[in-house]
Amino acid sequence: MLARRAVSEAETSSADLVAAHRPMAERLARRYSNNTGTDADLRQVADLGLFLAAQRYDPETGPFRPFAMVTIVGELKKHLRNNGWAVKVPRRLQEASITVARAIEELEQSLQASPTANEIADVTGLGVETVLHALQVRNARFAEQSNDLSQRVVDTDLDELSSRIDLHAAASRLSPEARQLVTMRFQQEMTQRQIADELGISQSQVHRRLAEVLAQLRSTLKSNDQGES
Amino acid sequence: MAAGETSHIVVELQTATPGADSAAAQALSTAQALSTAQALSTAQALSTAQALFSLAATRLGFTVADLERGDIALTELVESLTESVGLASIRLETLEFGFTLALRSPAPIGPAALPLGARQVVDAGFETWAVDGSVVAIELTATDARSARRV
Repeated sequence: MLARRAVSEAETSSADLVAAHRPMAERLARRYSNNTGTDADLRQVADLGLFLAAQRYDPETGPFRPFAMVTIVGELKKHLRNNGWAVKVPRRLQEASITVARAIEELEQSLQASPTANEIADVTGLGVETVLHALQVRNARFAEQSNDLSQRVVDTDLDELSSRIDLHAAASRLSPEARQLVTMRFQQEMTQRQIADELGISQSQVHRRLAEVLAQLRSTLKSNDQGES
Repeated sequence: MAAGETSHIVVELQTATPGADSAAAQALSTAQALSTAQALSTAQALSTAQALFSLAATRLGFTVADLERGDIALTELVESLTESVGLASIRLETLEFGFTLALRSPAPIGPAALPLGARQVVDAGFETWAVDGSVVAIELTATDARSARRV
């Protein structure tokens, strides 16, 4: 059944995948908002995550939905970290979390697969329960304001870079005003409020214009899909 | 959940597994705390469901990726159900090759209780799950040969 679903998704265009899974992106964005006043921002970040997932998706690796979820959640967490919203956790768990993160990276390379909690426990010498707690820290969704800049993480992922280059290529067809908006929002990672202040317009205008630009990008992507098929 | 009804949790362990004991203790401790409760609050339901899921997932040798997706999906499911129809009980039962995590609501679970976005999130986290009347049953089994060997 899974194979059939993957084959069926292989025949679906990126634009259709994006359209079909926007309810999931919306739902995931809502999960991370926690009344922080960033709801509109997070919805757009989730949209971007979905857009990137559709571009990167390889049907041979399995169904689209789990892959899209991980990509969207990754974008949401990165956005929260980059904007200074980091989860406060006890120092002991912070250290365990760093140890576990390193072990995951090493094990993923040596196993060529995602490791289990027991494998991480074996490598780190931590108890399985501590490993599980450390993983929950990684998955924590509600963030609190933190002044500890050392908690910020800079991600460098070549696949993501490649997808971002595709996105920039699509963005090059936009008008200068729209391109400036995309640059401010997704390259400089400014919030809608910051953009509104910078451009001297309201936040709702920024939200509406960004929604229009995203729609235009989706349309470009759809044209590319049709051109390739 | 109707007043007077009690919540219950079933945990069955066949053999001791590293890490499982503490997760089981956590789940059982929550179960004791719930024995006098009249309803499962979102926080209670979430901590119980997460403890039972961790127990099963550790025993089955789930990968970190499986754990992360499952945790997000389970949270979505529990929160959606507690906010809409409520949750009466959470059970973890053994299967021949894994576990079933069953979330029972006091009323039938219709489409409104689990809107499309929520269903997509749950679908992304669990390969096999189904809604049958007032019960959501999630089948948890080892997902690949590498983890299956350790069950």
